[in-house]
Amino acid sequence: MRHKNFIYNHFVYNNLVGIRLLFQISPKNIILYSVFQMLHGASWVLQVMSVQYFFDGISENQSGMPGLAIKILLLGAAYAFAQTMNGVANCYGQILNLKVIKETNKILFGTIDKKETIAFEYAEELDRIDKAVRGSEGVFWVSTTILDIIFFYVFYFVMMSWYLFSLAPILGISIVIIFIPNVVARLLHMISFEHLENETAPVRRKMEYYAGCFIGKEHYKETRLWGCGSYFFDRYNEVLKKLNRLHFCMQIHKEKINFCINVLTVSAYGIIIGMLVHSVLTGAVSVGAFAAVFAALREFYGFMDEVISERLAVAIENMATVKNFFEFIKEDRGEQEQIRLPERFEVRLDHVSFAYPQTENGKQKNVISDINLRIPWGQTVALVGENGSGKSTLCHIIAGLYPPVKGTISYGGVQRGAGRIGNGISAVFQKFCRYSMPLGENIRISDMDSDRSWDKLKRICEDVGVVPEWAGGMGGMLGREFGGAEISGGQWQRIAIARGIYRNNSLLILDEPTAAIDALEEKYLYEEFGKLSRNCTAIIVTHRLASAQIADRILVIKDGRIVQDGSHDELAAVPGEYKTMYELQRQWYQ
Amino acid sequence: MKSSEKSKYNMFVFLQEMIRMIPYHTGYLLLVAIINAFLPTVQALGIAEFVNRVERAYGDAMGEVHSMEGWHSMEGWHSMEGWHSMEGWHSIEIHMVLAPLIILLGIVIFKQMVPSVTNLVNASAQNRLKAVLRNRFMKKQAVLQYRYIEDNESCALIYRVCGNVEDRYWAGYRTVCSGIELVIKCAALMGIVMQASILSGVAVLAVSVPLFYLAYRTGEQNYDLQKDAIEIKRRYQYLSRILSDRDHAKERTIFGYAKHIAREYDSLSDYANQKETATLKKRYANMKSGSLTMVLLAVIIMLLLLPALSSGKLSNGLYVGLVTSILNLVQGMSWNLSGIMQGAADLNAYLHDVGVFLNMEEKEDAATEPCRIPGFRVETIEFRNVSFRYPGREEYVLKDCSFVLQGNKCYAVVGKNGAGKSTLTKLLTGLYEDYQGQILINGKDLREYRYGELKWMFSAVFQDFARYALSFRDNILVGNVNEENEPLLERIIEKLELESCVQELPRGMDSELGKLEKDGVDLSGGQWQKLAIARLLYSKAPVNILDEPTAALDPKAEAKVYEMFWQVTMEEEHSMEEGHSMEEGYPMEKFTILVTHRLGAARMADEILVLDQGRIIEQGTHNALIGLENGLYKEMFDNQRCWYEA
Repeated sequence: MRHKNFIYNHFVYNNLVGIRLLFQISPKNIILYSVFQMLHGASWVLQVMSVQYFFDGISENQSGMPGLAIKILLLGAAYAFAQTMNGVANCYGQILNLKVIKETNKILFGTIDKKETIAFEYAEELDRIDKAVRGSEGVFWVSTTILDIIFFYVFYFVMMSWYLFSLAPILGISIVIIFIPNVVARLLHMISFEHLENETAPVRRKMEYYAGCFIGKEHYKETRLWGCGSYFFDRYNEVLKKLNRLHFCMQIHKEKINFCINVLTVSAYGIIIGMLVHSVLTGAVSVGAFAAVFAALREFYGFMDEVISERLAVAIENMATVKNFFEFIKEDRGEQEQIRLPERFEVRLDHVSFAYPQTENGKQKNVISDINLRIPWGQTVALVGENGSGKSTLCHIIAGLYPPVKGTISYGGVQRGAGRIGNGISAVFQKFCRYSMPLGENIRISDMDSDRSWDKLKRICEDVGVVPEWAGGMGGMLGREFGGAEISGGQWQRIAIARGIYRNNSLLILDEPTAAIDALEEKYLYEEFGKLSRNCTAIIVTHRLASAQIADRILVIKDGRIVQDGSHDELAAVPGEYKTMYELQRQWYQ
Repeated sequence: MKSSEKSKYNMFVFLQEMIRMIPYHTGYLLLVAIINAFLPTVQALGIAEFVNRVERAYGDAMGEVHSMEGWHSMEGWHSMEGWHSMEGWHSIEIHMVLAPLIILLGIVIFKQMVPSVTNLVNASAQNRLKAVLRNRFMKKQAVLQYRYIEDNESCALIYRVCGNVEDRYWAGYRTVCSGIELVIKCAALMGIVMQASILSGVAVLAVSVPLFYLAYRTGEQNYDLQKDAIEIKRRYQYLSRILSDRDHAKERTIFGYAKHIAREYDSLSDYANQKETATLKKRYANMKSGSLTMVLLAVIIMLLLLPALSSGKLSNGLYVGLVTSILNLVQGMSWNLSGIMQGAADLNAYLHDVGVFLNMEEKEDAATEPCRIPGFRVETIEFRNVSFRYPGREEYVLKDCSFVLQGNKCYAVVGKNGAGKSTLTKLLTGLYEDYQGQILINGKDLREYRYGELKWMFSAVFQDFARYALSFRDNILVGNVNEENEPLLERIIEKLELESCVQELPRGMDSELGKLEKDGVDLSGGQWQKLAIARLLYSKAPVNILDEPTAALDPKAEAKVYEMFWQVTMEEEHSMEEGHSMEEGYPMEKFTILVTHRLGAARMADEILVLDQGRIIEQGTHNALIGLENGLYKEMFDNQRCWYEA
């Protein structure tokens, strides 16, 4: 049985891993939680017993009204106790969950931080990280499932069986016998349904896509202008019908099995009641006990349904992501050695090749092939070339974000990979981040190790044209997320530049830093870069060849190789890629 | 169409609509709710009957007591317990208790089996609702005034209303049914109590009402508490995104801020957890005090009924039955009550949103297809003192903007970022109507044309042009949904040098693009760009608008795209002059408006318009503008040119 293996190998094993982790986080809380669950389970049995006691009291009728009143109060107390325990156990679980999520997240973030940035470029790896992030939230509920089953459900079932046994042995035995096939049937049912849900996913995705084409914000303008909305609407309806059909068929299939299981449950129910009645009629069981047990039976089956269809089903459904989390944090490589680069260093690439992880069609192409490069300290280097030539990738390699597939890269003799480089390199990326944080924080986030110097912040802002008034001051919030100021793409771009510069660096990488800024201000910024790059090594990627002139040295990249290397004057003098590109742009301005 | 009826969308309308849309499903659910509501009562009576009959039978067996109405007779039954004689068994035949037993079993069967049917009804109802409501809401969405689409608040509201409509509607209706069920359930049980003893009944009623009210209030409070907790969470969840997602991966590594942000996350989530824990405790305390109140109520009812029991007004059986049902009710009451409260509050808020949504203004003809005006040529486009600001904004994007464009020329609109360039195209294509001043096409106000006609007049490639996950062919064909013109399509593909691209595709022009289908393929940026231009050309609109279409391309590729575009439109011009036009009256127009901030591209245009601070400050040929001393165009151009002068 594959399913049984599945349950045993993955579910139980991961549950145990989870419980161990929970114990590591806070052993006391977990024990307390288990005790609460146990008391909670016991309280339900107490309820049934108190009801029986009261009902028997009525039939005996010896103590009269005052005696009955006391029994009512006892019964009330049992119910109150059950309700309280129900609240305490559930509430405590939720509080504990918050605490656990915080701790698991911290472990997770630590692991992610130590991962190579390139991992975020693999679709597969990204998916795993994504699942681990979601898994982190589920650790508590999934891992406590077994605790709950043992301390609450099993405890309750055993106590109830024992109670029934004490009433009449036949009842206790038969409930156990009837109970087991029911549980098994439900378990099988639950497990066999996992794959059915997946069938509808692609259809649903399609439907959502067509709806998006019709009314989504992304395409709204165009779909309206072309007047092709009804085209998408028809397609949408087609898929919707299909989805509805699929959905309904699935439901029918599900209910057919449900029906069979319910027949099983009802017959079990009937048999138990039959025995109960028989016991009453023979006088083995009091009529009060009958009423009490009859009422409790539904609870009994309700709990059984709950533990399997809800708790276990949800736990198994989420097990995959939680398992992912456990596996992911196992990869944590522990503390890495922090390497401090010298104040001034030379960047050196030896036979560096790079390829992105395998794409879907299996082709793995070198984006960077066999680059040898030495950038002495203080040089300003411009990278130019067509889109897709590998400029950005080279930047990422030099920044130490992507590990070369072949070859080595070193900074002043320190080879990349020896440890974690903690200083000296800063960058402005093409896809820079827009933090929903105060303006000042948005810039200072690049160098949180250093002292918070307002002067430096102000000076940089002035240099690159960041105006604090955009956000209503340095402390003013930016971004829509938390109701901050909404600023334009060009303004964000400047903040990103300020952020890159704020970090103490001796190697500054600017990857198309002015893409969102218009021509007039672009020039001003490039002049600013020229000034800034005097105290450091700078690498600038740009399309505007003219702006490359601020560089001491220009590298023309084509198909992942350096095809030309030299100053503007040198390159402009000889025929070649650079000259062609330069002339092409120049003639626009003649 | 300005929506005329500002009808309120309330519970009454909601129920009416539900019954109209899915009469059988709603009927079924109500029926089940009502049956369910009476089950506790039936169960109480069943148990009562069973207990009474068993007692009577014992009594008969003992032969001691003949009348079994009173409780006092139980003495005899009790002594019977130790009396294990075969006569006892024989004297209580199963048929004596068969009737109540069948009732009790019936309840069990109903409770177990009906949910299966209900699940099917749920699925079917949701399917039906999905088909009806989604269509209706989508159609509404498609014809909204464009301003709603760019307004975040409206968008959020639309999203709230239209996401999972069928769930919301059905859940709403179920809440209503649960409410009805709960009320009937209580009332029916109350009825039995009243019947047994009016005095006790009145007393019970007097106690229940305030206690019930108390439980109801705590349910309501809980709903508010829950809302607060969500707000606090958002802050640290944002930090957790910074610490774990892909977008921040590079900066996270290079700036090494993970430790610091993690510390901040730690303290922030500690704070939030503290608050949330307090909220949780309060919530549970509230809910459970509601439950305890209900337990107290049950105890009081039981106590109040004791006199009736001992006086014999209430039979033992009925008392036991009643207590069973009441205890059962109490158990689920607090969950039920807060569930219903929350459901009702959700539904109310949702219906309010639906009302707002349905009352949003529509644009006439918004979803129609382009509508050709035979023989129409766009001779002039004139902006006359146009001022415009986006809804909800203070500052004007366009201020007193005036200019005239002559047909069959190519214009470039240049200006700094945020000067209002894209806004021009939005006004021209009729996305916004509430501007001041006039836009005249051939001297007639733009607002007097039908929207369908405008759609035909203009076609556009925007910076973020749509990359539909359709087949290659359909991606071009959507440019003109009115007709399929295979020769034109082929000619355009040839002109744009897309043939090699098509040949590389697995199934030629019928290959699916994008990731929607399993065998879908993706094009490169440049290929998509050409595809978008092919779509524009295929539409054969009199006026072409290119709104920064090449922002994502490098200068070399950009130049190539423009060259190609000019070439195609020019050639058409030629072939038309020479009488080789594809179809009479269907010339491919040269009238083009190009919006860009790259001056090199702009100078290829016949005339250049310089937009600054919401108005046109310069207009003329490249040479004319370059001659203007202190002109903005000259300044920008010189600025860019000086890089290229050694």
